[in-house]
Amino acid sequence: MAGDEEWEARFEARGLKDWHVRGSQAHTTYSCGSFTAAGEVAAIIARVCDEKNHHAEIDLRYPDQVRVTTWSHDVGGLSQRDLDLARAITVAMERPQY
Amino acid sequence: MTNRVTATDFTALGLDDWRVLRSAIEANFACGSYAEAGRFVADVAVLCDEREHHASVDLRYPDLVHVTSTTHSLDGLSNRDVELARAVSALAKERGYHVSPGDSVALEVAIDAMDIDAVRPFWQTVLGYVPEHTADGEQVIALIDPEGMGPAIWFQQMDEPRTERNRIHLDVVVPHDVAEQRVADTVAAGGTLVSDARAKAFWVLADAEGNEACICTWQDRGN
Repeated sequence: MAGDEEWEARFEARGLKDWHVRGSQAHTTYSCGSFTAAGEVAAIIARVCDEKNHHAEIDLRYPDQVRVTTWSHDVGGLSQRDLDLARAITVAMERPQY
Repeated sequence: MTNRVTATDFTALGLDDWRVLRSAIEANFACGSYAEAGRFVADVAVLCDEREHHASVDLRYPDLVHVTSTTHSLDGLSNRDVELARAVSALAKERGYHVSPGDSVALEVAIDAMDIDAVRPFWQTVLGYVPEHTADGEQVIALIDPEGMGPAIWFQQMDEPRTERNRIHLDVVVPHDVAEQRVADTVAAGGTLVSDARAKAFWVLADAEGNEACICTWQDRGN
């Protein structure tokens, strides 16, 4: 199985530079400007997870952060599904209304 | 106004969705789907901003929202936690979410040490943690993950080196009303009850090879 560095390179190759791989899990953090805005971002990411049928852990923290962690439980590490989810989340976050 | 609320007082309020763990209150809501749980997270964030009191809110598969509230300035609970808990529970009730307060758990790791000041920097550095101080800022209570993710680490003062057993044990902090069942289940799973002298603050249990874990609650701690 590919190591953390190799996976991080795969994320970067898909334009996912804000995602970091540590301990066979991919993480990113969004600073959203306010707690309410962070809550909205969490809701968007949750919807994307349902659409992709792959469910990242989403943690809301003061003052304005949303932390996202994804991995594939069935393989005990990362898979193509994590890359696809990270890509979908990143695209959703880039939409102008968000 | 921020007024301290003890664990006993909080529990007597009848906010049954919530349980006291360590210096915080926690609640778990099952919302029906991940997207619905995400909507609830957004609404809880608004309730927090309205009250200028910010909980930690975690979203977990399949549909769970886990809310933790504490008053950092007191290293404990206050009327602000009570007010937020009431508002969050009212919204959850309106939506018909299922609550499972007994599922909450907080994990701490306890390290026995002869000279705590000598070993604490090692653990703080290797974990990338920060000290958690008493409300007056005088004493370090524990080392905690600044991101609020990993378990807290605390140090147990030893008078003489303890060589006959493992010097690191886990503290499993559970809701007060599930602790005795958890002790019984753990014994049934091959554990030994080493001591219940400090129950219901904690029960000391050991696995078949003598490795220890404590099941802990807020009760019988003078609070």
